[in-house]
Amino acid sequence: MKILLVHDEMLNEALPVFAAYRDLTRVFVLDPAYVAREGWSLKRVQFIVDCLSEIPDVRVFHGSLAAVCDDLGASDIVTQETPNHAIRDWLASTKRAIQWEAEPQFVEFSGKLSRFTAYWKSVAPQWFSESDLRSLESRR
Amino acid sequence: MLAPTRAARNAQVRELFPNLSGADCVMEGGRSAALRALGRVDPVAYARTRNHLDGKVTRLSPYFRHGVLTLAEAAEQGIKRSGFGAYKFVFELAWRDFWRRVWARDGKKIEQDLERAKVPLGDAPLPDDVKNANTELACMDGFVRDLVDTGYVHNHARMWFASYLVHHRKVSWKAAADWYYGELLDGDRASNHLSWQWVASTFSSKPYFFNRENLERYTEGRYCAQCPRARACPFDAPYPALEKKLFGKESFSR
Repeated sequence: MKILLVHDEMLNEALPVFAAYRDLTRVFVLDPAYVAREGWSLKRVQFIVDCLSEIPDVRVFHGSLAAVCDDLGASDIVTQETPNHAIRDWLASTKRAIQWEAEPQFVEFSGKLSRFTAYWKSVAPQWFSESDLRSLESRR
Repeated sequence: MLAPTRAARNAQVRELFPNLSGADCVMEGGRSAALRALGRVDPVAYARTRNHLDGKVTRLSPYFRHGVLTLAEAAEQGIKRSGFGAYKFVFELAWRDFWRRVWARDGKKIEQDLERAKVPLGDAPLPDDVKNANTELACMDGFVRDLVDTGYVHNHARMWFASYLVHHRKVSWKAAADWYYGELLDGDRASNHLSWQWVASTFSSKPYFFNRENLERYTEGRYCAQCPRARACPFDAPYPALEKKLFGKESFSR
């Protein structure tokens, strides 16, 4: 069985991954060990649960992620891509096959990352016209 | 099964996590609240006033952190509303995207110095007087209370606070960043830890430091007026003198 694992960076049903996998069971796990590793405060967990309350049909479990996968008979996990190593390590601990689906992008960027200024100079034209940006530059 | 009201859900979480203490969450989560908050954003006023503690900041960051809003939809809305007047708003959104890309590139390395520090740094643990909002510096104690009580701190206050801890108290930026991460509603390792590194100078060309005049200006003097240490304020100096005191030289403020 394949499940849609909803992690803490995708608490929004409008994200494409929810539409792409509408037939999968949506699962969110409040895993005490994960929460402890993250060092989250009470209010942080409450905020997350508040966000979850607006996502239709999500099943929220309390316990270890691996144990929840066992109970559900989940052999495969689909979820949204993230660089978040806490989430990646947590999912890897289940020893399940994980299918990472792309997260929405702010801009297209394939250059070399150095300082923010160089990055911004490269991506700003995706949001604003060259003439507006030139005019701003000339006023500085 | 989640309870139908916020108050009941908050109680559920308290019951499920008896080891977590502290204040209940005061900020409303969820897509509806996020869209309402986005609808209130005034990009032009934001650009003009965002550095002031009473400025028209958006408070959208907890929604971004949890994917409840995307950076792209916020930028689109801002531009739709204000055209090029949304430049600063989109510019600041881009910082979050930039930090995230650094995270994707460097992974767990973002939790260590990414570059050589440009000034001497310390490795002291987080002091109790800071954690307990008991430094007797009204500004710093106020920022800690904001953090612990609400999980939200104004961005400028985050920078002042980080600079105070890292450069005045010589606290390990990593120890401070880890604590901060857990308390923030928008705690995100990329934005949080890399911003601490930016202040420390391990991911920037120079350290970030500030003086009393700067803090007083952007807080409208609200802390200094009631500060027990107002006459012995560690930030009350011109930049070159402050730099010499903190780093033993004057090279960044010249």
